[in-house]
Amino acid sequence: MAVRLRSWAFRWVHLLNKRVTVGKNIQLHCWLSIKGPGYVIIGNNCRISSLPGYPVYMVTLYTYTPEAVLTIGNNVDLVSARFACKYKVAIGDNVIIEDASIMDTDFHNLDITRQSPDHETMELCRVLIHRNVRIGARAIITKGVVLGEGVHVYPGAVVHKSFAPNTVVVGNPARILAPK
Amino acid sequence: MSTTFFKKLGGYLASPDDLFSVLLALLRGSFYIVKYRFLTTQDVIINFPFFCYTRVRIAGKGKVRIGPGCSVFVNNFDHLSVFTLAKNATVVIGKKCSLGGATIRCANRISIGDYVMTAASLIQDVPFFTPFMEDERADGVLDTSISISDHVWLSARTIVLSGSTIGNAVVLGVGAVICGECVGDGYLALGNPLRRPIPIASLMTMKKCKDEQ
Repeated sequence: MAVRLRSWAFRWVHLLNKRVTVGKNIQLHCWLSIKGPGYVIIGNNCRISSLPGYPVYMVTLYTYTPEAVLTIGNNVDLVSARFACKYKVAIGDNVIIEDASIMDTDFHNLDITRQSPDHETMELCRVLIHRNVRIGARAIITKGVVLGEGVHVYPGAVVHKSFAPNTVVVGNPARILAPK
Repeated sequence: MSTTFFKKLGGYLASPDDLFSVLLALLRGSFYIVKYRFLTTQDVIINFPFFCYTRVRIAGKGKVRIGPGCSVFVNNFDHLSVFTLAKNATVVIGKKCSLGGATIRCANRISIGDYVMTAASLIQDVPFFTPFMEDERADGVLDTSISISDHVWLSARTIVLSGSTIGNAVVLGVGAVICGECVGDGYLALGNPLRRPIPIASLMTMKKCKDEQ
């Protein structure tokens, strides 16, 4: 009941916001925080929840530029996941993300005149996460990472490069534990 | 035992502020004992001397047992939080542990021994979890039990994952991650993923050699 009420309130809050599109049958077990000037697109049957007993650690979908696009596919579970999007973050279908943080920028903005460094472009910095990926707790996914279909990122991993489909990734820096 | 008790008592009498804070913590801990024993429907039993300086959260349907004399100190990152994700999950914590900032997520069984110190560490016996473990979306995750023995020191930001066993008197370094490994008695374990553990006794001899040179 509370979930339906919260989902209805969420739709109502973002009704006039043309930059946020929400699919059918979203389930909000905690509040979903969307901030920033960019586009946020959420698919069907998504389930947003926080850690049990932790309503403070909510899912955050933050965008930092007007051309930022943050897409989330169908049947995605987000458990207090944190997103920081400056260029493009795309999440595929059937993905489970725990309290990991996914960012496509370094936040190395010391000065207002150096807000867009030359080495950060759309092609270098976009983060693509394909279908059936699972990302564990306290993992960090940095800019320019493409995770193939079915990659499992273990808790505590810091992913700095792209990985092929169906691999298990552990450690800092991330390396392949075993082919699944 | 008695001498340490009198020493502690003398220390408390010397500084009344400490005595007051300890009594406040004891009162707060007693409140949590009563709350989880009688005011909720969870299967949680906390034994009596429970010193609680910050908040404690216990959620889920599983069984939680916390031994006598445990204390929860203030940690900047987290409070103590215990989540049981399945109905037959059991968390057993021994006596006189210091549990500040630990996050425990249990789907199968986690047993922690006596005199264990934790910082902002994560102990989780499934590699990936959702709050909806019975759901068909969460299938295919392996849950295997974790056992941590006595006198273990878990440093800040350590992660203990499914299938790992930790022996007596083990120190986990800052940011160490154990996934499915076994560490014997008296080792220092470092790294993410874990490097080969160093015996603490050999560390002492190494230091002695350095001094002689």
